[in-house]
Amino acid sequence: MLMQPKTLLPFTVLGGFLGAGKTTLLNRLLTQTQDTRFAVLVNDFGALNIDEGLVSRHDGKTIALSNGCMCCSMADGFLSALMTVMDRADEFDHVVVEASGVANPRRIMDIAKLDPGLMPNGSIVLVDCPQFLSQLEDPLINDAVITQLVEADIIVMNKLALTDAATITRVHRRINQLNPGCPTVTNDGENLLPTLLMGADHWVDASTAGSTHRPASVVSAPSHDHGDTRFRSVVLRQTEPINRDDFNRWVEALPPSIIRGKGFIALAESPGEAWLWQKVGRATVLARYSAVEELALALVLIGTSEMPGYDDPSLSGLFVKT
Amino acid sequence: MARAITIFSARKILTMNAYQPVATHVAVSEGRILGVGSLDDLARWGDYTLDTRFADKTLLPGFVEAHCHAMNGSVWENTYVGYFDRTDPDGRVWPGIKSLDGVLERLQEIERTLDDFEQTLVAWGFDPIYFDDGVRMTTSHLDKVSLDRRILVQHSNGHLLNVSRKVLELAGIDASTDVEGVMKDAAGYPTGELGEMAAQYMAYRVTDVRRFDGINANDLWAFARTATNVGVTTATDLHARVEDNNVNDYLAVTRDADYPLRLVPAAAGLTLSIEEGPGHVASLKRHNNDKLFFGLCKIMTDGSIQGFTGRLKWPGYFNGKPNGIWNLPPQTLTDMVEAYHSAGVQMHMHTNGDEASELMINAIENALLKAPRSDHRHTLTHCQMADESQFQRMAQLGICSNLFTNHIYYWGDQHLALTMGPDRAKRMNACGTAKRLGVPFTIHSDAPVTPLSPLFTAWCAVNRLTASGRVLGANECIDVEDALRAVTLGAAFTLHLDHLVGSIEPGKYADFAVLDEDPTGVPVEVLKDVAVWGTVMGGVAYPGAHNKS
Repeated sequence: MLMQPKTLLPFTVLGGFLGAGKTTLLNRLLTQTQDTRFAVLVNDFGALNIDEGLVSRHDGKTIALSNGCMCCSMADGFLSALMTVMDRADEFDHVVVEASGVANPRRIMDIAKLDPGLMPNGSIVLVDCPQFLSQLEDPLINDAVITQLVEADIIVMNKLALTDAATITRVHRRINQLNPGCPTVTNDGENLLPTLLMGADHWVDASTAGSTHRPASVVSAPSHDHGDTRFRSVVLRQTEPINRDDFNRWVEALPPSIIRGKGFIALAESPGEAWLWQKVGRATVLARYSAVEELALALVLIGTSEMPGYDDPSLSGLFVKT
Repeated sequence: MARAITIFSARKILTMNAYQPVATHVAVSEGRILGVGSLDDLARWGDYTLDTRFADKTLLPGFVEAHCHAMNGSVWENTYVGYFDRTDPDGRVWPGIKSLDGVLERLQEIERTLDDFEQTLVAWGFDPIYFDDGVRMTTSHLDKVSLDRRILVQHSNGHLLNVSRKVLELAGIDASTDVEGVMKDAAGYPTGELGEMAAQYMAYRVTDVRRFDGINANDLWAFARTATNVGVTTATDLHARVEDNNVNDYLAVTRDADYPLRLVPAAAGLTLSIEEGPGHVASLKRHNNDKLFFGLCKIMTDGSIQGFTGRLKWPGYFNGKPNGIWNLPPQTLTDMVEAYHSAGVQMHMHTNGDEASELMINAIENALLKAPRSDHRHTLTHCQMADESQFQRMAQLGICSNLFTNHIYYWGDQHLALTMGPDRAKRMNACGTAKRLGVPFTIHSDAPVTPLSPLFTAWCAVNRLTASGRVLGANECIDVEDALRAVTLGAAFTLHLDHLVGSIEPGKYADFAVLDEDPTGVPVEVLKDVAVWGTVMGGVAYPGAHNKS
């Protein structure tokens, strides 16, 4: 799909209260990643239970996997673990931090805002749907649970299969009250692809992205074969520079079913320059990038199954579908 | 073969031994106490050498500090800039600095001694809240120390940091930086004061400050010097990394015949998995020797009260700040308690707020129901806010308390004004209630958070004076005798070591605190000022650094 320059390490925080399913998701991330080498900071190796066949080296504080990923224990504290990873930043494509069950994900994400080697890639907060309503009633923990949801960029309603429809409706309503408009993904089974949630693999072909500051052009049509029907994606190609106000209006009008977006556009005010646009949840960033001739001008959007189709003018109005 | 016996004479010996609380002589053999009493009594053991060097001193059982950290020695690798006087491992008193200008002068003095331009200047213990004018440090102030050096000034609360212009520049922190914890001035520029994890992370990333991964042998030697200076012969390292390298260093120093301290490392539960941790901590006991006592585990629950991160029950913080934070989900903490308890491990649980104390009391009760165990001596350490009903439950469940009386002096005024308000501040670190209800208790410094000095800690429990001179909760004051018991036998009890240390009676290690005066014979107001000559440990005298020629 779309190539990305590999200058900054995407930094994703995986939050959610105890039992929300963070470890399960991380396990799947580490075993199913195609091309992305994840450095994952975890609270507890023991809980991870990584397939021994995947482990290439285990030295107490880190576990190296044969697919290029690494797990790093936070036993000596989060900052110490992160510095260990950052000392070897060029060995990885993506950093994921498993927040403790009571952590505020924004406090962790602040690090990516400060460290010039990191790029904020969203706080994904998992919700334990069967337990969520009682968690909100528990005075020992409800402040932590609420803070996590309020600070989320993307919410995953997890373990749907373990509860009933009425509960799911009530959970959804409470989530909407706490964080209105936050893109929310539902997960009723075991197949949720974490790489899509993280915005990994789908964008970056790591095997060829090693040194480039010069992303290739759009190389393929949008795919529905990424193996997870809960997600859809769209690639939009730009033919003419876009007026900045029109683009901002288009961005603001994107529905919450779109959880991520990324790509390059040219603006009418400076048609010779490419701008990098990124969207994580509701947060978007538009930054001047480089001269336009080096880049293919196109955006990729990833959303839930409720995401509008190609024919919907709210998506394609400014662009040409590829 | 006759045993070699040394009899020490003293002006007075306070034994903490109920059947014979006061004596003049103590006989020592093979590093242990053979007997205590009069010279005539002890002479009946046979030939002896009379050692009169302490003839004008008062001997107490060697002090036992049940909540301090081995970093208490190595913090002195950096420059102290705190408000209160503090003594370094070599016995040098660093006077407290009462103004920002004074702090800058001390930093300038250090700057002049640094040859390596790349070295980071690190200072610790900074506490501007005590300055009358309320002034905050900025990069402009540190410019007067150096325009180009990386400087870190750590605040005493452990949560804030002031950095020099060079550090901000290297960390890329400027007016455009928009994260919590980067303080800005009215014009929107960072002042150099950094709070919160992210800001501190960047500061540490661009400096060469040591990354903490547990204790090493140098730390432990410096720690022992600080202990000897204040009469401590048994001390915890109450949040210890227990990787092989750390364990080997604990072993190496305690096997050294000259090492003058018995160490009780409490494994940091946070750093171990719940599946493997309990077995690992229990198995560490195989390394134990006469100066090393593994087998304890530290559980961290909440944050600190003065940092507004302690977990409080209703009505919460007096100034309306939101409730504090848990280090782990309460259910996980409860599960940990059950796992360590079931493995036969003793726990010391950090609980500052009363909600945290309650969680741990509930967790211990739950663990006891599932795995009945006598004489567990699990201890709530800090236990600053526990109320009467909680102390009652602790008494019923056999839970000990280790109260943070030094807090009354150092932060008592803040507790009254900001955190607890005038009512609840009076019940903080309630030694009187613990004693009245029969909860076994000791008192602590949490050094290096506050200075290691059991006599000072006892003085706090007896007088309950704040730094401004206010008595905080006079009804919770205890007698000098109770306070001295708390820092000897009381602490030993909470460590399951009262059969070995904590009182002067036959069979126990010959560990003494050697004092220039009788602490029960001076006005209670000056208890903290009684001079410590040094210690005797295992029958060997160790003068404090200030008494070495």
